[in-house]
Amino acid sequence: MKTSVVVFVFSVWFAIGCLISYYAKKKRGKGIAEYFIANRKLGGFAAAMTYSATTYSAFMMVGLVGMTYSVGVSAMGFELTYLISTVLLLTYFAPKFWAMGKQYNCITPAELLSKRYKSNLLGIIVTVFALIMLIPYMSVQFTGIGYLLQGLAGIPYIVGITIALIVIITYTFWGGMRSVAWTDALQGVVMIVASIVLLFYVVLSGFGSFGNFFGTLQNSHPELLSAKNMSYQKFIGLSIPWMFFALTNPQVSQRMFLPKDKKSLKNMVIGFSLFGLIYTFIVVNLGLAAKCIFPNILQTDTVTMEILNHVPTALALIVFISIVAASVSTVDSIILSLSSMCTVDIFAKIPKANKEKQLPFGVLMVPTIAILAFIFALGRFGAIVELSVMSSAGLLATAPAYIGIFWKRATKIGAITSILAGGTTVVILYFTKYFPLGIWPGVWCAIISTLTFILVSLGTGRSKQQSKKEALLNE
Amino acid sequence: MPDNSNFKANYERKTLFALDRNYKKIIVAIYTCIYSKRGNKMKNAYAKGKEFWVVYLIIVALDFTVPFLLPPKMTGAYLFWIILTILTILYGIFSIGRQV
Repeated sequence: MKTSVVVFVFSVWFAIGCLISYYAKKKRGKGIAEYFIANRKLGGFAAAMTYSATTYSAFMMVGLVGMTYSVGVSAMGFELTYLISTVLLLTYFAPKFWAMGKQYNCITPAELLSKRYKSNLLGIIVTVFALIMLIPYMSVQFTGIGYLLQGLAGIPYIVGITIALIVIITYTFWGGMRSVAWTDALQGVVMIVASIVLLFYVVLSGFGSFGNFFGTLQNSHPELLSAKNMSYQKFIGLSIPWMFFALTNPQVSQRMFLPKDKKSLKNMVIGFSLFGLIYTFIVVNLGLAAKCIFPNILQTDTVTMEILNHVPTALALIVFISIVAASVSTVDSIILSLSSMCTVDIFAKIPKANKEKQLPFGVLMVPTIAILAFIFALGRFGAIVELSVMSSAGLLATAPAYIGIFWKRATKIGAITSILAGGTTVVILYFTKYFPLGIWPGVWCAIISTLTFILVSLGTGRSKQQSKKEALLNE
Repeated sequence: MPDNSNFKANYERKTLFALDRNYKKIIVAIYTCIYSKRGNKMKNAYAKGKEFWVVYLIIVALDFTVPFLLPPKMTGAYLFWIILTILTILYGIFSIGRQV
């Protein structure tokens, strides 16, 4: 693909994003809640699209296509397990978190924990933990964009990630959450439309019809339709950390605070559910179709590139933009969430911290965190991949504390120790590559943090009768 | 003129006592009413939480077992996971519609 063509299309997409971002900046009100959570005034469509675009990164069009190519429907099972769990968790927790966020004026999920458990230390721990886990994860997204621009247009890696940095800071810095949400809406639309067009093109040009495609799949590659292509332990090990993603990852759990009313919240959950189902279906079928058309690709990460090499340039460019959009929409949301957590859960808790300086501090944190991830991507440290892989498993350590919000006997010591115990377990297991009983670190993290949370809470909390009396008095 | 101060005192004492007793009754009645409503509310919240976790565990258990027992066909794990997801989304829409 010609560099000039790629640069032109990329520039057009960036210019449209900038216009949206600038408009969001003009609409932006004052205050920290406005900058970080759009003053809880997002409509259902924008909330649904920003939730979807934040959740689904470039992993879908690059990683999952390759994974499906390699292990067939097991990859679809893993991704749909995540979706099923997220839909259920959102159904139960989103209305509660939304109401609590409004009632207690919470801006970040960590602040919700701090207020529930009456512990500033807990908020600080959750924030530091999120920084450790998510900065390497963001740097991998930068790396992905860098390699993509290098592979498709011959743009040098350093120039590619610098372009990504500029785009991300522009979308985030200017207008805060309103800008991120609106640009996410655009990027979500690009992601879904591009993938639908690509699937139709690949299936219709490669097989003639969807019926022929499914027929070929069943007759020529029945092994891809077996759930047993991936070992059961690996399936569980991959699925469990992602099952609680909606609660444990601040960039998505913070989105439960955004809708302006209950109807918008409902539309957000429904919109995300449908987006997730359609997008997963498309991506998985692209992987399956690629296996039928190009059966001899050795490196599974290059499957999407192989597909793009065989489609018209215009379509390839749109898909390329959609992959970049997926990365950008994920990273800008993470940066804004981490900035808000640094501001609300650390800076604001410093004694004698000036309240008026909170917003400038938060705004300053946006480029700081972005540059930190950029430096990680620039260094291409080996440990980054390890850290980014373990981010979903590591953040799982915070799940018991979030679920325990509604358990009367949960204590702050239980929450803190469960996060520390689960997090330490994941780090040790990932770096030593020792998986006891063949069980993956994410599962061990879930077991250890849950047990620690329950046992320590029971040990350090009030007796059941005292809790009942207190509950009655509070009532 | 008969000295009715004693009677008056007695009358006041009895009336006040009766009023006090009635007041107590009313308070107890209101408290019982509120308490039982709150009790029901708490029970409902508990039941909803319980229902959610039961549904969650059933769906996850199905998700983690059934596809691995099905034959390698389009109507096997592929179709099962899609149908399970659609049913879960429908349950989610219905459930969140009840809540908000």
